[in-house]
Amino acid sequence: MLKFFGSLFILSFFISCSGIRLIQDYDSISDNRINSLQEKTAKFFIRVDRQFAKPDLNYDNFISFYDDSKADINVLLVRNRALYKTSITQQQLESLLIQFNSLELLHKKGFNSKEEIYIIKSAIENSFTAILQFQLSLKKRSNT
Amino acid sequence: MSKPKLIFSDILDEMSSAAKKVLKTRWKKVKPLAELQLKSIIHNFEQIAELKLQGKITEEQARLHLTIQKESIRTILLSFEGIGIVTAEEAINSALSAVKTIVNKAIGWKIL
Repeated sequence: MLKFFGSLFILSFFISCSGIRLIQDYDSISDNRINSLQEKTAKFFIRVDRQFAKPDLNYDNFISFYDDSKADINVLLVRNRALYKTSITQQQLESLLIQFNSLELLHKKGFNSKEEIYIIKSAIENSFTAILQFQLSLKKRSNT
Repeated sequence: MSKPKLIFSDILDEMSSAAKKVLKTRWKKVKPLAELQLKSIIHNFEQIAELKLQGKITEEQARLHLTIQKESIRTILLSFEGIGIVTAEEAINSALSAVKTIVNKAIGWKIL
């Protein structure tokens, strides 16, 4: 009987609290910032597509976009480093930063074809989709 | 007081069916989109190779393009891993919740 109630006590320790947490909690601030960065990036690609082969496509006209975007990612990284169990979000943001740095270097060298822009756009869009998909799964969990 | 009846196999069945339910529904939703994303990146790799062959991009530019694609795959796989952990967590918690019901029922009062 003692053994039974002992096991029950251990079991109740796991169940009665708020459940087991293996990964970070949903952070609405991070989610909103990622969404707004995605929106900013979508506008950037529309602008680049429209201005292709025109002098306006010059890298110098887009420096503020690169500065803002990279600052946004760094702010998100610092925030997530301060939060508990956010290693996946951090790695995704680091990955996104590498993509933005590579995009900037390619832009500096100049885009030679629209195909170049489309393949970068599709890769970065896929990254945002993946990051937001993960955020959505965290959000869904926090609502249950 | 008679000893409460708790059948281990009942608990195990209840736990595994609760866990399976969570795992199945979540993965079914996630898998098709991830496959689509990975397919589009494979297509991008082919495009980069073609641009390089046509001389439209230099080797250095090709390398930068490949970095962007590679990092995109990384974010997709990380998302897959993260959703997997959330799913596993949900499965564990729903299995524990199934035990809660079965134990409370066997004892006759809400101990958990």
